[in-house]
Amino acid sequence: MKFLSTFTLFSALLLSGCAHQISLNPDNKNLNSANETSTAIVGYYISDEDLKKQVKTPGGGGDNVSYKPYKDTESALYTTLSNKFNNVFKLESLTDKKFLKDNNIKYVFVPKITTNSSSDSLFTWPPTSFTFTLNCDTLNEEGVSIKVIEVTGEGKAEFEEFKNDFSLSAKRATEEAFNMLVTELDKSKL
Amino acid sequence: MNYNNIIAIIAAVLLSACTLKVPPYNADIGNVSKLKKATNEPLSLGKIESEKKLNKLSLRGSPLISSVGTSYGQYIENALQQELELAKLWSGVAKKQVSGKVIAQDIDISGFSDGSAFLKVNFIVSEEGATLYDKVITAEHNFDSSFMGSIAIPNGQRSYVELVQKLLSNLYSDKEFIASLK
Repeated sequence: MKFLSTFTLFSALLLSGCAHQISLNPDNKNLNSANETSTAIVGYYISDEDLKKQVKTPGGGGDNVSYKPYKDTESALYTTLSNKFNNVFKLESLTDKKFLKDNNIKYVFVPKITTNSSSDSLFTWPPTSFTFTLNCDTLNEEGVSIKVIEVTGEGKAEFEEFKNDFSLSAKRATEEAFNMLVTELDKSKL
Repeated sequence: MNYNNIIAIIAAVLLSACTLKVPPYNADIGNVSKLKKATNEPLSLGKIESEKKLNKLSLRGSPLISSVGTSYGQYIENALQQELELAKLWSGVAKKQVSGKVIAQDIDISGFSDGSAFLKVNFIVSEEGATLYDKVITAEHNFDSSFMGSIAIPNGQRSYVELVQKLLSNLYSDKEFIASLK
């Protein structure tokens, strides 16, 4: 029976030549709060094009994994900013100065995400290693860039760990990156 | 037909019996924004009930269960709480309370290219014994499926998160629900 279960699980992970979907979102409960909170109200802007963007990077055995980096991690970005600032708004536009003024938004964050993945397995597709780089441009009320924060999280997961969560290495990478972001926000004194 | 395809077909035939869990809920910030615009009043959360027969979905023979507690009702409760917390509207002692009951749900990955899922929940908003809102909200979600079980099953598993995101989006878009919060 145990052999059958192992075989079934192994079968579920076998190759097929397609891109397998994974999710990057970390558990928001694992995201750190800031050491010093700020009274500032902030916004963030992710374009519709970025929210829909589907990215493909390598998995194991010659297969690929596919995911939506901006959509998957939007709640992590929102949570991280909420853990530092008094209030956070999602902006529909970068040029709506009235919205910024009406809501007293002091800073606007514009994220750019770069990812990569790999696996040392010849037989299973989930990535054993994942890299998530978050580059956050910080704009003031006038739309002028005042600071760029870049952090990179790396996540690793082995077969025994990811059998219940094929996205585990990716989630570990994003969790590390967002926890690094809040540390950098603390240092920045925004 | 190459070696990989042969193995994949065997896998598709043999896949069964492994109990899978729905991935953790990923709060939808569009939903959070809707809540923030709708009200400033704090809300508490009651039980979202679900009958035993609704607590196990089947993906080509593989049981799919909630990753929160022992029922899908608890998964939806957790999803609601996450979004209320992010909108800074959740309070354990607020008099106005959201509760509900899962009426029906299913995920269908029998198709070789398309999968579909639906969910119906009866939501209730009450305050000190008075019912302010009582309505069934429905969500439907379509996603890519595959002949290959190794693609179709994880896609079906992940689809539940987006299904609940849509369910809550439909709830927050309901004018009567929003009116009951004010």
